[in-house]
Amino acid sequence: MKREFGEQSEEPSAERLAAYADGELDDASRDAVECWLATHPETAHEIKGQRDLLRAWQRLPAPAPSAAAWERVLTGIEAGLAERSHSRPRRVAGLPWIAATLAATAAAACVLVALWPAPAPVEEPQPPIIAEAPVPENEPFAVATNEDVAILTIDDEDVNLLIVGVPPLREPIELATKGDIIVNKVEPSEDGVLPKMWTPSDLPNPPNPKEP
Amino acid sequence: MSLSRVLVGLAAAGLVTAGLLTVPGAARADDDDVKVVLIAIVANDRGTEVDKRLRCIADEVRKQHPKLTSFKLATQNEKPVAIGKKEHFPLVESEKACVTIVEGPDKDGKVKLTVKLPSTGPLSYTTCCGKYWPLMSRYKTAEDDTLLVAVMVKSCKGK
Repeated sequence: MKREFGEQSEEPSAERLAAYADGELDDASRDAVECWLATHPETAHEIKGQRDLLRAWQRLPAPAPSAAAWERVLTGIEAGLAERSHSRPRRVAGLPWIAATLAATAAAACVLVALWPAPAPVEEPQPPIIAEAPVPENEPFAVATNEDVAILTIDDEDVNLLIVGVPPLREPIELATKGDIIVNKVEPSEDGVLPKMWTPSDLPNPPNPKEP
Repeated sequence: MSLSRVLVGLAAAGLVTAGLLTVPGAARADDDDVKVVLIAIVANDRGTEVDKRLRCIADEVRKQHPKLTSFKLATQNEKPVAIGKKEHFPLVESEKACVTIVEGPDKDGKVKLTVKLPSTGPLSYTTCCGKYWPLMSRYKTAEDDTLLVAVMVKSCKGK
């Protein structure tokens, strides 16, 4: 039998799943992950949630400072410049960098204060962004694995038609030994013939069972 | 009120009562059915087109039959099949598959069924619900395509 069993899709690593969620896989890798996800709906649901969140995040516009915030920034800059111009006549030769540093620090502090999120400016409420659940198109059919299917009866000549599933008879055939068998009762057939039994371990030359 | 009107009234009441008692019974019988979805796939080595829905099935098939490169969905049918009964599912070119539900869902939700395809013997197996079990056939279409089927059972205790 040429077929090798147990070649079903293996579980992708967390990194691979993350790359799939981010849309970074090539076609072949993406197909392989999608096939695996088709048989693992819980993980597929989780990945879908991550992708929905990513799409919603990408659609979210960058927050722009309000007019009041801009006003505070402008006021802070003007105050810093005014302080610098006042200090200019009194500046000490040799230390101009101190005034410049102080002015820059003040301006930066004003910018920070204006943009600090804690005293968030009251803005018009925006409608919450609801991630659109993409309707899966052409979702692949989930395939059963060898663990999902147990083949009970099959014609021997049809075994090579199996794609998934292990036939009941697996090679090599292992014969039971004397210690494996306990005969509890043997009844003769209608014509009084008793079956002959042997195991390969205790009968080096087993008799022909067809002989009486 | 005449006797005939009384009798007619009693008969009508009896019919209504019988109807009320019968309908839930019939619903329970339907609930015991197992829904079987059977799709027929034609595959060949002359192209590279793979139906997107068949990607996973094609991947599994190609592990054993790497020459098959084109997979197209030919037919898809869904039927409720009563336990112990058989149903025929159309495939291609008047060919049919016969599916018998041998046993309903067990404690693990697995169903035992027998599938008979053209030119193959009956094949019995147990399977879980919601997943397609692909199987090759020996049948070749007029276009020399190989016929495959994939069988899925569902509605097993709500699955």
